Amino acid sequence: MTTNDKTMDILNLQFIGAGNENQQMIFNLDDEEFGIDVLTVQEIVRFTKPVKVPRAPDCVFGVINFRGDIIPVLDLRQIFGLEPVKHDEFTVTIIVKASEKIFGMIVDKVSDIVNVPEPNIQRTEFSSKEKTKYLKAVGKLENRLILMLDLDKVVNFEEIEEALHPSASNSGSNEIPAQ
Amino acid sequence: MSLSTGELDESLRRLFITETSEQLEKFVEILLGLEKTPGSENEVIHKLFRLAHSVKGSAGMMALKELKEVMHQTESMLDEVRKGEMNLDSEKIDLLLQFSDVVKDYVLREKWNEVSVLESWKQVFTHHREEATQPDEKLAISLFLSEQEKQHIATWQEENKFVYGIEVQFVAGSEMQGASALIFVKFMEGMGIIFKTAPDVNNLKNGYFSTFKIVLLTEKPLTLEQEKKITTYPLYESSGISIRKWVYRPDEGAIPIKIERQYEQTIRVDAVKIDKLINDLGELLVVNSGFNQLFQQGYPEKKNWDQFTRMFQKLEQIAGILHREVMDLRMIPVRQLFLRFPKIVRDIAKQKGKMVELVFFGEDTEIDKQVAERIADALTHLIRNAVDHGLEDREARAAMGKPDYGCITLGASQEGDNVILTVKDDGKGLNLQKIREQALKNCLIRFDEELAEDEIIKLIFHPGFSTAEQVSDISGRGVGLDVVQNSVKELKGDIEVSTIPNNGTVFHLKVPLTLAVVQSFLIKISGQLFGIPSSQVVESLAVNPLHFHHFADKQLYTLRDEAIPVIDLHDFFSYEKPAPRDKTPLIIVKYGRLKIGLLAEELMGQEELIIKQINRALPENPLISGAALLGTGEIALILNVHEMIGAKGGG
Amino acid sequence: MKALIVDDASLARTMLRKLLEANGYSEIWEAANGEEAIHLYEGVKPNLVTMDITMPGMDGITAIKKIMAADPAANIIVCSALGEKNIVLEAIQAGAKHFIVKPYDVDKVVDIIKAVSE
Repeated sequence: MTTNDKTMDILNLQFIGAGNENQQMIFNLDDEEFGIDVLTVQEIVRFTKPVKVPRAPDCVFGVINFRGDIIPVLDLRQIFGLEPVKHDEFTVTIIVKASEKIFGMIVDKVSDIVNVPEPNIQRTEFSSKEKTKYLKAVGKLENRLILMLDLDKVVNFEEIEEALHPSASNSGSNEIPAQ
Repeated sequence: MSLSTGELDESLRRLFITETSEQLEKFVEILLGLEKTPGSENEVIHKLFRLAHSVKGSAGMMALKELKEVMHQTESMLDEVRKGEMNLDSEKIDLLLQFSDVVKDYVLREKWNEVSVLESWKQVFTHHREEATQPDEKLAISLFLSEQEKQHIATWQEENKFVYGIEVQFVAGSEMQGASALIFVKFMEGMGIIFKTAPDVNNLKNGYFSTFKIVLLTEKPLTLEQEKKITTYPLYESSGISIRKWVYRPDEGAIPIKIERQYEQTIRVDAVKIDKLINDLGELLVVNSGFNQLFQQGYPEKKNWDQFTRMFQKLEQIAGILHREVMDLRMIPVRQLFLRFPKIVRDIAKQKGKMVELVFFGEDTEIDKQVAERIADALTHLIRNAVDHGLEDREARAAMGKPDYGCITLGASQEGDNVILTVKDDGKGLNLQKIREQALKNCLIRFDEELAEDEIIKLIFHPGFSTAEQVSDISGRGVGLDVVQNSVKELKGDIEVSTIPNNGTVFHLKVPLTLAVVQSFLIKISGQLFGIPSSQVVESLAVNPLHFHHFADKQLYTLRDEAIPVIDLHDFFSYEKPAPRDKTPLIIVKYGRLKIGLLAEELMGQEELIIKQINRALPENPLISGAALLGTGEIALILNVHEMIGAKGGG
Repeated sequence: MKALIVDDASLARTMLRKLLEANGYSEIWEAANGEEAIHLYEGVKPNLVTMDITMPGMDGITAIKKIMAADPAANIIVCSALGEKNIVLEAIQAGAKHFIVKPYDVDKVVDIIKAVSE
């Protein structure tokens, strides 16, 4: 546990020092490396089991108490259609802010903070059906491929739900019938 | 004329000696206080004056003519100080201290016949008074504001307008300062409203003064250019013009503090809020007439059930909006909370002989009146600590090259559903090493315990930490911070502390914007905590599920001949079901005339919960109306009973 | 900009003339007493007047009052000697914008000319 805490401290320190525009915080889901803009990261916290919210979208793991606020935590594995894994000492919750919303994302581990030079960033239009729709670019770093996440899309639950359960729509309007 | 010991009635003499020496001690004490904090307050001078006066009176009664006369001289001198005709500078304080010693000696040793010393002091005083009233020694006239004037200034500042104190210093031996002051007033009239001057404008011809003060009211802050123009305005015999923005500076006695009444009785409400409220009330009336129409067609039947349901939803929506808006009426700007602090800071700074500047920011941030009341003590505590322990004394500051004035910043800002209150000082910072040592002494930590910096800081909030002796000296920060933490915890808020050695300490208190305190039943469903607002609960029972009646796919529980539909919350949420027990809690809730029983795993009791919005990152969830943080840090989701009954009770 | 110097002593006038010239006044008129001053003021309409107090004939205070009555926007600096504080106060109440004290301290006078000229 203590080693984990130390790692957390170091990680937090690192990202406090970071400020460059293309700096990406790298986290892992399975063998893939994902990157998010360091400036969107609020804090990295030890994984705590979120409180389940009944009938919430599947991608919402639950809610946690983050400094007196109750914020949702997303299960990125679910969003990317990956099999669930057991949480271990490397599992962390990254608290991010996007689209004026603060939320957490559970990832397998946070591994690095890197600077991805602009020329190495490839911004292609990704297919809207695939899980790649949550990406905004791919960065190349020597032999590593970094999938750069578009957090604004990640936090757009309606679309996510739509993608996961295309049937679940048409949720009745709230208007009073015309008189 | 003097008395011999023999002529003096023994008991009277004893009384005179004890009383007079006590008074002289008090006299000395006040003088010493003045020496530490120059800038004598009228009230203090008045105390000195009264003491001198009563010593004079007793001396008269004892027929000690010389003592009476020299005390009369002292009294007159203090009277002149009191009227602002003479400055009580350190030289005169020194003089008075020496004199007190002489008189004390005279009284205690009963040197009733050795009057020559007193005579010589009489001359000293006469000399000083003459010197003081010499035209050459110009006097600083203090600016005294009446209660009404203070109120006026306070109101002006409340309206977000500006108040400046401008002071012209005149050189010694000046001749034309009356004309200069008048010129200056004319010039300043172009900058704003001349609220008051000292000496008064009509009184510039006569009398001498070494400073001329103006209270200037402006609608807009003075620009740098304007400030420069003022401070460099050419005036004969002036040695400098200074300008200072008054931000509730109690030094000038600018602000009357009448917080309590403001809190207790009225809330000023922004007209915009009222307009919004009236607008949404209009919506409510529309729904009402919709219902009327519906009911004129007869009671809801199957065919218009849908319409009925939708109108009900609309009604709920409006009720929600109205609820929020009415809650919003309780919001006050934190300025009202902050108003009390200048005086507190001034008092403690005086007491500690420190010079402190109190700076505000974000005074317009709104906060629930109740939250403001409940956090006020904690803030007071932090501010006291900051002045008392956070800031170094003047010598230490000077040694570090810091400005004489310690700076305490008190501010507020909104962040989502919370208000962040900031108390910051530019003092010495927390001494982590010593906090650790102290915590060790108090057995709060083990000696081999490795602690991160923030963990050490957290120790200062430990109740066991504050009870230690001389904490303030050791930790550099003081007593009873657990109190602060408790009140923040009660509000389900959060404290963050950061400190930089020799740079200062910052406390951030995060408190909810509003206190939607709701008495609630706490239940457990499959190990998870949920709350149900008590207002919606009819009663709670312990039942045996085996006694439920089953009808089609529904379960019914018969309570006093009434069949109540039962929802097993485990089923409802698709949670894992516990093994059936004969005493399972059943919470009967109501929605209009509809009643329904909610079957839970466990009933934990009732608690006052502060309901928070679940961060808006989550899509709206009709079943959950919010969440509450419990004292334990656990989260309880609040069930929206109406919605659940709606979902279940439709059929 | 135009200035009018009113003083019965020519040395004082010359000194002020130099200072005014150095500070942006291109057209400078001189008067040795109050009557002349009022007459010239009407004709010249100067941007600035320096007015001595004690002069033969009409004194400075009377001249200030008359000029102010004719032109409330008149820009007048009153010149006095030390000790004349009550007269200076009277001049200020009559409408003088500022005052300078003899013997002239050049820096001070320049500062005041600048301040009043704005």
